[in-house]
Amino acid sequence: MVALACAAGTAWLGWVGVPCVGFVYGMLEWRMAARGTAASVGAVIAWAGLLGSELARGADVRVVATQIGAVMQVPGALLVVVTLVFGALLAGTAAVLGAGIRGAFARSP
Amino acid sequence: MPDTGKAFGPGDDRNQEVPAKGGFGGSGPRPNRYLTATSTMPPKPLVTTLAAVALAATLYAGLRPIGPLPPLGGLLDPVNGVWANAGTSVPAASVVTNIPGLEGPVDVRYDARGVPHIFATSEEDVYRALGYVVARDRLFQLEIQTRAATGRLTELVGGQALGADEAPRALGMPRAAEQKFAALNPRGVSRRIMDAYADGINAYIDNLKPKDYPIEYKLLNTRPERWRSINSLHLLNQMGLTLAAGGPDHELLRAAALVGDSAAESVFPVHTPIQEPIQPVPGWTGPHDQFKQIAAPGAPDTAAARVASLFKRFEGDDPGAETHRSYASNNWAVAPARTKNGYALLAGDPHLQLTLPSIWYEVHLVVPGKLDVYGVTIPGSPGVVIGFNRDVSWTFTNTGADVMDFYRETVDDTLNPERYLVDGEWRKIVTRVEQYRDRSGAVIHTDTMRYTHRGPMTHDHGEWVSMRWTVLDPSNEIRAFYDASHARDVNEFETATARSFWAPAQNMLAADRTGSIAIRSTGHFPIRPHGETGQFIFDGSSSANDWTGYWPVDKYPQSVNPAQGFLASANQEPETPESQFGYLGGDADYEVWRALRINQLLRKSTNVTVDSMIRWQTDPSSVRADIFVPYFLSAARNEDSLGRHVADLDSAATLLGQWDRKYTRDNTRAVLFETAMQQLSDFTWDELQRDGKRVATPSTAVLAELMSQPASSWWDDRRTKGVVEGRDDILAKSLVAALHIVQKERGAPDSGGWRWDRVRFANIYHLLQIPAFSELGIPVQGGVGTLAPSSGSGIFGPSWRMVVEMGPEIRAWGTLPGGQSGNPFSPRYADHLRFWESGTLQPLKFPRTAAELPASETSATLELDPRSR
Repeated sequence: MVALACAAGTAWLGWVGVPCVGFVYGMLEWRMAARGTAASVGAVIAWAGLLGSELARGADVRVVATQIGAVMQVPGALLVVVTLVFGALLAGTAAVLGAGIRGAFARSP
Repeated sequence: MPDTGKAFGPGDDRNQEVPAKGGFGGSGPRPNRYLTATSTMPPKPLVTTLAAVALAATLYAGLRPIGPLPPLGGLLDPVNGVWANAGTSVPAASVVTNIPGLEGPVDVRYDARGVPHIFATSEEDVYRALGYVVARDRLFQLEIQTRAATGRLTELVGGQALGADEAPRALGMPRAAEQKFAALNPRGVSRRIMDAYADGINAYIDNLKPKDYPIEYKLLNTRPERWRSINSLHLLNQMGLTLAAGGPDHELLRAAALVGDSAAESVFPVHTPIQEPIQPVPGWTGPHDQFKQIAAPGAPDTAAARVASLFKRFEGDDPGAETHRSYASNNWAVAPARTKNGYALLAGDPHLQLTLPSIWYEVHLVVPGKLDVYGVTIPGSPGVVIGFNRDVSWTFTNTGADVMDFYRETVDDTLNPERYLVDGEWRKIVTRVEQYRDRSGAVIHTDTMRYTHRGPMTHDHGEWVSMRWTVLDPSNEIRAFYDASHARDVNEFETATARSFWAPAQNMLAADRTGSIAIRSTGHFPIRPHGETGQFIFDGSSSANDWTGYWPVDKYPQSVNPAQGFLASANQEPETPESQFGYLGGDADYEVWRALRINQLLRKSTNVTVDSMIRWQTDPSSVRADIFVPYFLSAARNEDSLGRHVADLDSAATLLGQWDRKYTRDNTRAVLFETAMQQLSDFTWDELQRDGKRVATPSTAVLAELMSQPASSWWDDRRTKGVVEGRDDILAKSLVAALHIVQKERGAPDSGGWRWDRVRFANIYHLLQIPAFSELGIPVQGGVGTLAPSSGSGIFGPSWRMVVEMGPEIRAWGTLPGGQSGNPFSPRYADHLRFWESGTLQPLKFPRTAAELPASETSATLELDPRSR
């Protein structure tokens, strides 16, 4: 569900949709263990899925990875990893923050 | 309480634990839904704070550029970022859309080479569609070239581009474009097609989603700017800057500053010493040497030194090299009597800076009964520049005319002049404030430009100098291209272009289906007062020094159906000195070697075929080598005959003598010759050095002229005290030095390192100089002075090659060093490059109707329908 939400959020709001989804997820699942990890994994799955769907449509994602990687002076595969890690960070940290804020309200008298 | 071993209750934020006994199925109390096996308390404040910091940092990286990197968010977004460009690398096979203002449906068929064939019902619609397809394929190129022409790159990349932005503004280019635009009749042909073209570009931009922005916009973290009709004029001004700026003035002055006027005028003559003019000369069966005695270097001219300093902006990065004559081109046409098929043949290859995407964009425009033209356009300018219609084909080479003059102005205040003196009367200086902005729109620099009636002023070394330049004059090149595309024979073509085309002056060659061939050097050539050459700075305080007009068209260098049955131009002097109406330019802006070679080939060929025309475009032979190699070998023999046996000289001469004088990829001797020629220039022109750097280089034609004067004091290398060298001494010294250099850099002669394909490359850079988007290190056949020239950094070369057969049905062949698409991820980005590299031309489709382009040869379609939304 997190993955689907991240994918939808990205499609609707762009990359900023991911921390939004992560934050909301954290607020909802504020007592859940490893909420940050779950959000991160969800974001990775979402973005990997989006990249995969481009590949499935015939888009040459590998060419982009190689050439943009060359522009940024990193291997193309690393660019893919950086992309997914970026999404994971956005979602995971936002989820933890959301949970923390929700928890703070819950603790308030 | 469940026995968990830990106390808990309200306010206790320690982790809750499951019951120690009984578990969930046991006898303990029913578990709270929040106190499940996986539930925990919310993160501790410290963890939350760390998460907030980490999120803030990630968001910062996502929103703000870090160093050279654009904001990562927009870049890495899998839907809208660079990954989306993978999906747009190949346009959809079939698209239906609309352009506001469209009068009727337009059918665009892309052929197998990615060339759009545009079939419209009105000419304005065809230009609307042209704007649309150019935007679709070359949007970023449109923008960056316009910004370069208007001095607005800082708005894209920041203050680092300030120097580049100041140049066109200091030359008055944006102002001139505004004046030209204002002078156009809003209902005239030029304005209407420029406006229609703009409509097409903006229709594409307006419907573009961020995910579909070209990759360059994402890397630069910006968005496309809407197109203005005037931008087409900015781009044509930029072409003028490329091909018609400078002139021999500054080189002559720099030379005079070092060796005196007489010697400088000898080595920078007005007329080329080896004459092979564009206009055939009755009775001439080959080139003529018009060698004169070259005056010996004399005392420096201090006045010239001061004036030369005013031309600092025209000093190239390497004024000492032969390569600054790189903007060169070839064209030739053969009359039916000399062709195998009995039809006129035309070939053209303009040499410009090689870029990806290419400076040209191929297109075919059809409006039944009105227009049917194929050729290359400049992205941003409506109209085919080089190409053919059903009756006429045409192509250009640069004339190299001197159309820029300078005037030393007398002003009322050296620091902040408001008036300048002409004929004893003060005239008001017009000012214009130029503001340079950064990416945020903030003003980062301001200049006040000043103008006299002649043109923009500059201030150097306490002097105010104004400039008169035909590129800034009101002209209408777009009308010229429009009229040319409607021409029905060579006469109509030449008339149409002469009417409206002012700059940069071009040698316009045409051939038609009746078998006629014609050429005219077309552009506005100024008439200077008192027969002056324009090679020096005029005194601006007298209006008698202003231009008195322009050459009449019938005095332009021109020829129609010459008796010799062919015409050829390759940037040589257009006419013999005796034939010229007035001063046209100087030897420094001409080049003779390619002209010599193509005339050689044409003179001996009476059965010319399309294949030979194509083959000649990459002919590896060199008349320059034919002339200079024997001199080197002779010098080596002379040393031997004088008993001065030098082993290295013998070796070098033996190696050079083995060369067939062809710049083929696998030859292993051209590198020795080229290095020897560089050494020869260095040793010969040592008098033209200042602070260890050569400031002006005479042409190799002048060097050939000097070869006929073995005792000239120019040969003496002043750096060798107590020794006075002659010609053969310098030749021998150059050859030995070359051998040492090449051996040191490349190893033994036959070790492989001397192969030409390891020496000479074409380098085709992306517009932003991004190596990953560039094609670098392409081995080429050709070198300095060959018909497919390549030298220096390899960034100049044939930017388009075309051959046209003017038979009952036009047949044509062409290729670009790149492809139609400006998207680096597109298979059409550089798909034509392999043909260009091999010297092969591809057949060009020229259907009369959309139906004539079968589906099997159509790679995509685009329908522009006024009813579509």
